[in-house]
Amino acid sequence: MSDDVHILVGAYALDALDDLDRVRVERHLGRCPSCTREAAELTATAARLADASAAVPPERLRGEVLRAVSRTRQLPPRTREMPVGDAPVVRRWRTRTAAAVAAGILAFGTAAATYAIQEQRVRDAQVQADAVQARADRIAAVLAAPDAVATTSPAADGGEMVVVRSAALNAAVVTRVGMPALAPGRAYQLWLDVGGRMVSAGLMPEVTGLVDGLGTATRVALSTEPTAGSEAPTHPVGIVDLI
Amino acid sequence: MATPDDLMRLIAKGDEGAFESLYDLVSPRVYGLARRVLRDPAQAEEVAQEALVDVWRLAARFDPKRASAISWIMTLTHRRAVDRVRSSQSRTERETRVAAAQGEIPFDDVTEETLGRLERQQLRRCLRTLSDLQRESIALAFYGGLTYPQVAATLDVALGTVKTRMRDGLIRLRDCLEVKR
Repeated sequence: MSDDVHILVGAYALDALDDLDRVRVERHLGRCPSCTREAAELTATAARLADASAAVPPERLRGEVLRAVSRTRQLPPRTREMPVGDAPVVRRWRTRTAAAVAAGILAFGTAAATYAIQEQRVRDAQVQADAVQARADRIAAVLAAPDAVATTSPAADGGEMVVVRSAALNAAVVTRVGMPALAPGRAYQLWLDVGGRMVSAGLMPEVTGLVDGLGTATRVALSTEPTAGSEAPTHPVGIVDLI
Repeated sequence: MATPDDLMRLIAKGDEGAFESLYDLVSPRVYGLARRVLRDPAQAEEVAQEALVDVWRLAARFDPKRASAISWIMTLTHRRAVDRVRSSQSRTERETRVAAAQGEIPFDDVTEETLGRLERQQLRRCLRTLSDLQRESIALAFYGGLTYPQVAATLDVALGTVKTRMRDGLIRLRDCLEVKR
């Protein structure tokens, strides 16, 4: 857990982060329930600062807002993924280098990422909608990078793990394709192999995950873990070489 | 009288009448915050409209366990306002803005019944418990729409100092205001 990231919770609550820092903080919060509570409390505290500013809006605003509302569809409440249970483990993977399939995978990866972004946009819209946009922009940048390399690998429990990486951007986009929904209490977690040690790159709740900051990692892996995440992968489902 | 939290429950079910009541309760705060951050009344009006329509659109996603209605609404509004600051302004405008931004927090002169006089007094009192650097960092970020590196540049202090002061300042404010969520 990085203190450096955690200290940014104040700036996060004040909307004082650029897009990349915001994504870093949100990834940190995703792994740390007590930090999530602190972030929620500080966000509520920041909202109280609005008590200092108030002004009677122009009369016409009322009519404009009510008219806009009357023709705006409300989004439905959040729903959960339907679990289908864990399939038996088959530790098997196959890596194809991208050259032959890069165009196709890239096109597919982009479509999948766009879908995931739409899905996630709806879910997170509550407060931090534009963090999703920032993440989407970063994902799009990786997918469109001139040096992007795509690799696809069959996943142990069915489906495929697609990794598009850009050395120049020092980032990779991981997409789950056709993998089974997880049982309650389970989550997907991303890992980087750094000098032979698997280091967590965060939970991957969405179909598409962003790994920002590859550093010297040689492989990226995906596993299923208890929802809080694990210190080390316990049930790997896919792994892809980065070099 | 129905509170914003009561109204949100009805709005989540598509009750336009409840939304109208909520508008009357919260629009001065929404518009006031947008104007404070954006300064330009025309842009503030657009942003206030966007934020209020968001409240309607996203009402079913509002989770009263995670935030109070007013806190959620002001967070949405602030985010919209800051987005506008960062996306629409040219570099020069932004620089002028940084130079012009103030670290102090003027209280708008409004009929305080609409806002809750006690809450405003409490905020004033609690802001006074912050150090100058804590208060200035928070004010420049929240009302000025600046990022923390811009705040650091404006105040001419180290980045690490600014992010620390923002966090410990908000924590002190939280404890003084007794904010739960």
